[in-house]
Amino acid sequence: MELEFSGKDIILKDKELNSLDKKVIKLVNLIDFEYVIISGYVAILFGRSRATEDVDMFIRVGKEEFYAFYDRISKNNFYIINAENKEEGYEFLKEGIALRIAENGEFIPNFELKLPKREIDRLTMKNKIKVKFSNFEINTSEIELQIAFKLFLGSEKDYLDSKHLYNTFENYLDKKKLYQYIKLLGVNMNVAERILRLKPGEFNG
Amino acid sequence: MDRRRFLKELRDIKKENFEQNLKFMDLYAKFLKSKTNKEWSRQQKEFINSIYASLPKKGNLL
Repeated sequence: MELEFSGKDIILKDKELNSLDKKVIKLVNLIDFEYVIISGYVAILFGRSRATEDVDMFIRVGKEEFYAFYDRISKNNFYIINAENKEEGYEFLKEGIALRIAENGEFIPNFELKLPKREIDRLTMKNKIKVKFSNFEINTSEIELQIAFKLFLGSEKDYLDSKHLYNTFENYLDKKKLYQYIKLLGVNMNVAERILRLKPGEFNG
Repeated sequence: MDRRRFLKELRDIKKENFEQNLKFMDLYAKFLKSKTNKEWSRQQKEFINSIYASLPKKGNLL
C-alpha cells in the first residue's frame, strides 16, 4: 500500500474504485455542508477485506440546507428509507434518529446520517481529516480516534477494524495521541495491547 | 453430555477463532504493504463488488 501525507490529509493514489467507493463518492458530491464519515467504511477505504451494510456519517446541517440536500439526492437516484419526506427527515435528525439513505431500488448498502449529539461526535467532527483518492476527496474521522473508538465498541468486527487500521498506519500514527484517545474512551489498556499487539514501551512516549 | 465441558469447549473455539483472525490481520497487513494500491484495490474491488452484486434489488420498500 502506498500512502502519502499532506499535513493531516492522507493521499491514496491509484485506488481502483469498488462499487461501495463509487456510491460514497456519489453521495458525498451531493453534500454541501459539514460531514465526516466514520466507522467501518474508513477501514474498508484503506483495504479491509469486508463489505458493510451501512456507511456512517455525522452531518452538521440546518433545515433549509437539508431540504435542498433532499431535493438533490431525490434528483440523483437516492431516497430516504425511513422518512416519507424532507420535513419528516429533518425532524428525525433533530430528534437524534439516524436517516438511512440508499440508491433507488436498493436497501443495502445505505448511508446512516446523524447529527453530532455527544461529545465524542463533536470531537470526531472537529478533528476530521481529508482522504484524497482517485481524484476525489472525502472527510473521515482521524485514524487515531477511529482505532480507539473501534476498540471501545468492542465487537470482534470492531476489534479487527481497529487492528487493520493500526497495522496499515503503524509507521505513521501519532502514538501519543492514540494513547490519549484510548485513555479518554476508557478502553482497557490490556485489551488495546492484546488486540493491537503493541510492542513493550510503545505507548511510553 | 457434560454441559459445563461442552460450554467451555465452545468458549475455547470462539477464543481460538478470534486469535486466528487477529493473526490473519497481521498477514493481511504484510500482503497489503507489499502491493501497490492498484494491485490490492483490484482484488478488494472484485471481492466487494461480488458481495453487493449478489444482493437482490428490492425497490423502494417503504
